[in-house]
Amino acid sequence: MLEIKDICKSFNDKEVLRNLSLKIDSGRIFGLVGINGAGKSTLLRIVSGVYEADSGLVLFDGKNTRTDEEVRRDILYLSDDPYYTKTSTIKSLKEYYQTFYNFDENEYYRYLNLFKLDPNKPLINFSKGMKRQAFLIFAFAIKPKLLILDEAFDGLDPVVRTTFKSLLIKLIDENSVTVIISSHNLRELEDICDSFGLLDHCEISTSGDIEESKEMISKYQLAFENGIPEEIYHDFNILHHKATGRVLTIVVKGNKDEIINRLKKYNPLMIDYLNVDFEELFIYEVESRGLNNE
Amino acid sequence: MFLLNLHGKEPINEQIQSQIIQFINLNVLKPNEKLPSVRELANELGINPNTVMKAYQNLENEGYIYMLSKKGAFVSEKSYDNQNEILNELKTVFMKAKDMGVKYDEIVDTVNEVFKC
Repeated sequence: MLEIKDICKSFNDKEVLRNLSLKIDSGRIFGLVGINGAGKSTLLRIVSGVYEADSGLVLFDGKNTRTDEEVRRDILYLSDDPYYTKTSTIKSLKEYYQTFYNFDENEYYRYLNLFKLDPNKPLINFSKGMKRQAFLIFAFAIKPKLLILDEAFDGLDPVVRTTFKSLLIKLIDENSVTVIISSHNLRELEDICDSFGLLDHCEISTSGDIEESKEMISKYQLAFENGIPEEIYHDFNILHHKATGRVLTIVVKGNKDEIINRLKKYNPLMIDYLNVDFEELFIYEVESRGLNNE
Repeated sequence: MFLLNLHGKEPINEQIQSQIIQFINLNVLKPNEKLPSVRELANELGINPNTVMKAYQNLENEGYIYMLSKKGAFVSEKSYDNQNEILNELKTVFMKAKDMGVKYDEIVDTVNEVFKC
């Protein structure tokens, strides 16, 4: 289990994370989402022990990820732009990683062959997708207990992504790995993650099971003969609204049946509703919190 | 203005068409009322203007709306022919129901149910 406790981090005078706490159970595939610049990478670097938080701590299986060397061997952080030098090759990087991590040689060669990459060619000559493949080979060979993928899939073509996704799922299945993925492709995250956390304004503003959270938010469409009653805006937890003529479209958080019953009391000409998907959930949550903070 | 399922099976233009028809039938949109412009609607829904245009053209072909160049799209006058036609159909169904032994009150209840929401 990963426990993030009261993490605070600022860069110069800019506060990025404030009393951020989060628990992720083992074996979960957790999606960390947030707008650009929200602090996702900062948080993930703190979790993996790369950055030091100003205060607070992170425990993986009870051990401090910043100070305990043993537990750090079980954590692999892959950023979207991993470090390598002008002369780095897959082979040289593997040797470098091996000074710290345990490698499963069979898995290493298996994925090297699968991706058909030349271990002696400088990485600088690889395409973006091939570079990612190279680092994914390390992830599969190291088989960490906690794998952190920081936008590791973004910007890759659909064929490569599908391959990565199925390999990732296989890795998780066979080795009970806990995975944290940060990504902007919410439709994809929706497919593979079971839980999520939205990092917004220095804290985790919403988190939980993706399916349950989607059920809590729906879009409703209503029409009124004589204009939209003002009280409706105050009567519900409305994340988003748009009125056009006699038609009002609202996004409301809460139990659908209860909301429909309460909406009927306004005697609309019609009521219709539609579920939201993960991407819409993200947009409406961020939008409504943005408005509240202004 | 419309609830769209962008990733479902039903084509988007058809979703817009059926919702506009529903609005017209419920008097949410009244005869000669102006519909949002193609560009406005495409912008609001985050979809291709061609999709909106297709929906409006189909509705125009079916007589639900009419388009005036440079002015936009408007709801057609209610076609009483269509209404008479459907009332005649109802009459036929009622006669059938009566022959089957359905009671007057049951039919009234059904009518009330439909008009309630």
